[in-house]
Amino acid sequence: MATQTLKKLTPEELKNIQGIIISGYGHLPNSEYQFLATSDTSLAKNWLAAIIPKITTAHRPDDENGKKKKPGCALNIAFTYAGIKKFGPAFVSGFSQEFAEGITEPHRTRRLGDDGNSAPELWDIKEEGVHILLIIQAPNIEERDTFSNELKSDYTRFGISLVKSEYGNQPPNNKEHFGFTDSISQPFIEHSPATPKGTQSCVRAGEFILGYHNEYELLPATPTIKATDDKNDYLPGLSTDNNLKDFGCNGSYLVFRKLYQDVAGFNSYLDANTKSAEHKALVAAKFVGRWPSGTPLVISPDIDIPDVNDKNNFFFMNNDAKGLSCPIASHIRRSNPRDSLAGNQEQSIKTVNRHRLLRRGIQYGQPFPGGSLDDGQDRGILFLCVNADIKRQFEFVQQTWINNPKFGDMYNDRDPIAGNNFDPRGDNSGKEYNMTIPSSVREVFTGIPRFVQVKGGGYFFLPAIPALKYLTV
Amino acid sequence: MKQCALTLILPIASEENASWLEKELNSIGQLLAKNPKIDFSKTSLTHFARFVILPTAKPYSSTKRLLFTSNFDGDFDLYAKELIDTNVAPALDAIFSRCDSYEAGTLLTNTKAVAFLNNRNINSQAFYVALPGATQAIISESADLRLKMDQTLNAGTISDDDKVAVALLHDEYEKLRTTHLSTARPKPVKATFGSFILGIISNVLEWIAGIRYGENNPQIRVETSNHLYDMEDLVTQNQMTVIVPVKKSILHRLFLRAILWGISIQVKTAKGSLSDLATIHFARWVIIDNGNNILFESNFDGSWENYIDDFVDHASVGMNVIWGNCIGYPKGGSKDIESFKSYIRQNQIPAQIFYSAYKDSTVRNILTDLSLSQKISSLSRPNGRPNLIMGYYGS
Repeated sequence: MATQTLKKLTPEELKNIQGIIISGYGHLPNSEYQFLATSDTSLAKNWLAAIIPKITTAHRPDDENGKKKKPGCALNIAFTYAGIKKFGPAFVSGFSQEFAEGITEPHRTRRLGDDGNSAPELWDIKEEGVHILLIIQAPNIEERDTFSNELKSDYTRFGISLVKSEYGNQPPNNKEHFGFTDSISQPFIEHSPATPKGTQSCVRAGEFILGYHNEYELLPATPTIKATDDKNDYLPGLSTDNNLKDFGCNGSYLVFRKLYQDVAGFNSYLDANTKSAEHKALVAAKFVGRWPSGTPLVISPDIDIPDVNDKNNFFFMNNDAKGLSCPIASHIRRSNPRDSLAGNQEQSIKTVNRHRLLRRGIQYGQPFPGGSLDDGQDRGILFLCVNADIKRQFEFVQQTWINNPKFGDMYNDRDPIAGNNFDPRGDNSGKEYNMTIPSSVREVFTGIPRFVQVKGGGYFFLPAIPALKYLTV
Repeated sequence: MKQCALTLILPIASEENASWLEKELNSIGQLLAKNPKIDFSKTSLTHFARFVILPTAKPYSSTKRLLFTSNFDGDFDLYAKELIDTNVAPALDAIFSRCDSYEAGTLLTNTKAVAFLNNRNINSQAFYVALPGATQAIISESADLRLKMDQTLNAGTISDDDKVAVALLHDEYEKLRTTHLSTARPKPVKATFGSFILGIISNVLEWIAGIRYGENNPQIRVETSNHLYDMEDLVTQNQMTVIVPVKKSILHRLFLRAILWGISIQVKTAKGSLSDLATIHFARWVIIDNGNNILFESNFDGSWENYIDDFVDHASVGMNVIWGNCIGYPKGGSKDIESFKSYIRQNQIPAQIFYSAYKDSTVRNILTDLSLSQKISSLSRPNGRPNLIMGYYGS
């Protein structure tokens, strides 16, 4: 293998990268996702030019004490394929096939498992008719709405219409609607200025940002334009060909999925299939792979120990190769297998690092009042993730790990929390899936119903600041 | 019984026949489960079979060609007989009759059918079988046994005495599942002088095959046609048929044959996995068209993406020393992933019909089933003492 210097993330580049790629803005728990459509290209370009100075970048100025100042509110912008085409640039090499086809292309829908009540025909939010996703993150609802109204006041003037808004609110304890602490494991971008919480795998920047080398030590595929088309010289040159400019550099792809959580269904299934409150709590934890406090079963298999300091400092194969603590079918073991993929531990970690997702999602809807009767309210997770290669990252995790009934040498187990399990309200295949909990006499939960329903989705591209400027021309 | 490969390439008699075949095979392929005109499920020898219409390949053929491959148990005599006995032969005959150099009715007479298969089969340079000796019948019986055992264990009506015994049995089951030879984790490989030499040899072999490393071109991204996606991810296994031209030089042609010969030796000893890949059921390399083209076909578990990623992770040198001898293979080899995947997708031909005898079983599932049924057999006859298994299954 020829040695080459790998392109590193540097402080100078942070000004060009949209902030949501580097930080989830945990200090801004109230967000709005505006799905916009543009009607007139030149008006839209004027609007974009006015918005660019308001976009939050990954650069943080120092405050009076020399510490990095967190933004008071954050604004980021992403485009659908139709959206980018509206602005009219002529690309030499284009975007990825999955981005261009969109998330609801029929073969993709099959691979992602969006069937039954998760079928795109039933979605609230689709890519059709949407050009832009504007993401507002604020410290509280008042500031979010003020900022939002300020932005909205310009839309009519610029021929922009608001197709839909989704609102997210992250509770202070970070527990999602099933009652479990979320977002504990988050890959750390190599050379990122952010500080990781607890132990996290360090992953090359090219897994999440175009223009940097990825975990294969390759530069990710990127959209390019002719250098002669970039008259204002906004964009960087393509490293392998100076006749071209790299439009995608410092940008990334963003996956959005609105996931409804059937908390009543979750509670009633567990009530019906467990013997006691303790058993129910244990089984719920086995489904997830962590206790409600976030402590992983690998560290504490029998009871929740909330004050474990670093809840992400564990591997599977040293103590739990057979899944007796954390079942192989459980949610966290499937969404991040760490060292447990077949083969050897070192290779597994290398392989898993090529399929990490940078999660930027948030909860939506009011907390479930409790019990097992559905209150008819919409609640769940607005799932967002940043990745440089949608097919190798998001789609791969969904198809090969989460929804794969053959994951980990199993026969018929899909992810009990997030998998496209049996949908009693309309799954045509009628096939039932299990959840196997290994132990001295193993427990198999059969006919797992679907607890998460997909109600919206889209693939977006997050351009870098120079690329946004290029779009305004 | 031995597992065998059948590879037939027949030129289609005319353009009209080619369009007829394409329509006919596509319609059968899509309905194979519900209304199979070619009902391989009535047979017990066939593991996997496929029909692939190959594009025109001048000068070897002025029309399109029909590729038929099968992975089956026994030999051509048994195979031909079974096709006739199960009444699958007429449907095959109707299809082959649309091709040149096939006399209508050949497959319906035993002697003619055997002669045809022997004469027209194209030998593989390398043929990989994941589980040698595991016939289709054994695979299906073991799966049934495992299902029965699952149902019994799930039934929940276990007395306290039996609970102890079941716990013991379950321990055995779990031990088998996690400590079978191919699941044993290899110790991390320490860099030794031996592995250093092996590294140099790999580099030399790759260099001979034409691999030259360099910066990758980030403009290349993989495009997959819908024709390929149409036939993927419908059942547990996926199929891949790739035909690529071999480089013209004598060096590459000889080197390719030498490498494939080496692989054919090596696969005889690898049980359950090909170079650490435990997701392939059957695979074969066949040099065709007077050495000018090479056909690769494989039957594997999981998605195409996962399959190719596994090759890149575990067998990248192997890929390079084989495919480097072929025209159009990326200079950077399999490590230039987008180019590598692009190359395969561009040369992959969709199958109109893909049959699998065990649509719900991965290689790993089958391994577990086989180990389990072996163990149960041995447990159920321990020196003639009355035992748990007999009590449980009543036999």
